[in-house]
Formats: sequence, structure tokens, C-alpha cells
Amino acid sequence: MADITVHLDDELYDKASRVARLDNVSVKELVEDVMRRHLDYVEVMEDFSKMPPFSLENYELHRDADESDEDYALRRSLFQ
Amino acid sequence: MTPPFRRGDMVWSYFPFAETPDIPARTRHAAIIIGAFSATEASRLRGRPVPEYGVAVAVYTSSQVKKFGGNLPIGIIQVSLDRARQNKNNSAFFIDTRIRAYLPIHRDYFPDLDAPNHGLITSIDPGLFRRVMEEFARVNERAREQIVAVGPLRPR
Repeated sequence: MADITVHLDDELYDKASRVARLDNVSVKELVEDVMRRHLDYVEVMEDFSKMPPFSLENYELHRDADESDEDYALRRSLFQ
Repeated sequence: MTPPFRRGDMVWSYFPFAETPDIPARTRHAAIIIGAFSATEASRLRGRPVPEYGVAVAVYTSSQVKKFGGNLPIGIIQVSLDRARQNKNNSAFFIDTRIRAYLPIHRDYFPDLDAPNHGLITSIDPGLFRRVMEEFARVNERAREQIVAVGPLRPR
């Protein structure tokens, strides 16, 4: 466990206090949570941001074994 | 590799919130799979990384059935308690086909992906899935502005 001191300006601290009160947590817990979320974000985005976004050009709809031609075409059309 | 999900599967997911659309939610949430997709050959040839198990497009569900009152917006399907029980759910729920997640099939978004059933809760009955498709299409045609797309692979 590392201890660090963080300096927040008054306006930021007031806002953080209000949000922390609403969430029933301390400002310290709120700051930890915000940091954790940001680190999650960075980690996830590193992994997935390089992948092509969804489009039928980039991805092909998997056809289920029991699906008729007509049903498959209808389902595929939802994404066009 | 073949995606592990089928159309109409209700599965546990970390369905992202609209406010943080790329980030897996902290708590698990039931989502209904509309389709599972694999990267096309053309996409692979471009040299960008692609999700190993493909992409799932899923819609949002919630048990907060009173949220909409009697007037259901376009795209919402109310599932009664009886029908919910037929579909292995213990409470009534609604399906919101306006809220769509485009998720890599990865354990970051599907917490039980490595379990034998991959987090499958149930496969909804074919009649209900048909209604989901109809509402999905209605939203596409009549209320496109109400679509909320989340997930890191959402269309850009």
C-alpha cells in the first residue's frame, strides 16, 4: 500500500465532496475509484482501440446451424 | 474461431453504460445476443488486430419494468412474469432494442466466457426473439436517433 498526498483546488474539492456524499463514500475513496476507472479505461482501450469498428465490411455475421437462408438474410439486414 | 454465442442467447455481460461506452460495467448484466460476428478475411488482411472470438452485438435488458409506465417507447419489449418464467427468469423484465452493445467476445466484457456454458442464462424462445428482431428493425427505420451504441467496437 502506497500513501500519497494529493492537492485539490477548493472548487474541485467542493465538487468531489458533493459527489462523494451522494455516493456515500469518502473523498479518498472517490479519488481511488476515479483513478481505478481511468486505469481500467486505458488498459481496455489499449487492447481494443486498434481493432476495426463494427461494420459488415469488417465483420461477418455468424450463421446458426438451424437458421434458414431467409432468417439469416433478415437478421443480417438489421446491421446494414 | 467460432463465436460461442447464438442468436437469442441471454448471457451475463459487463454491458457498458452510455456515459462510459468503452468501459466494461463493474457489475454483471443480462444481455440478449442479436448476432455474433467474426472478422472478415479482408479485415484480417489489413493487419489490424481482430477479436479472437469475434464480436457480439447485444441489446439491453432490465428488470425495472415500471420505468416506462403504460406507454412503451418504440424499441421496448415488456416481458411478463409468465413469459419470463418460461425463459428461466424469476421476474418480469424489459428488453430495450435501442440500447446496443458492440463488444469483443472477451472476458473483459463477458465475465463467464471461460465457463463451460460461457455465461449463458437461457436462450429466449423463438417467438420472443422474433419480436426482438422486429423492434430492432422498427428502431432502425423509425427512431434511429434514439439508438444508443456502446462498446469499444461500436460503429464509428
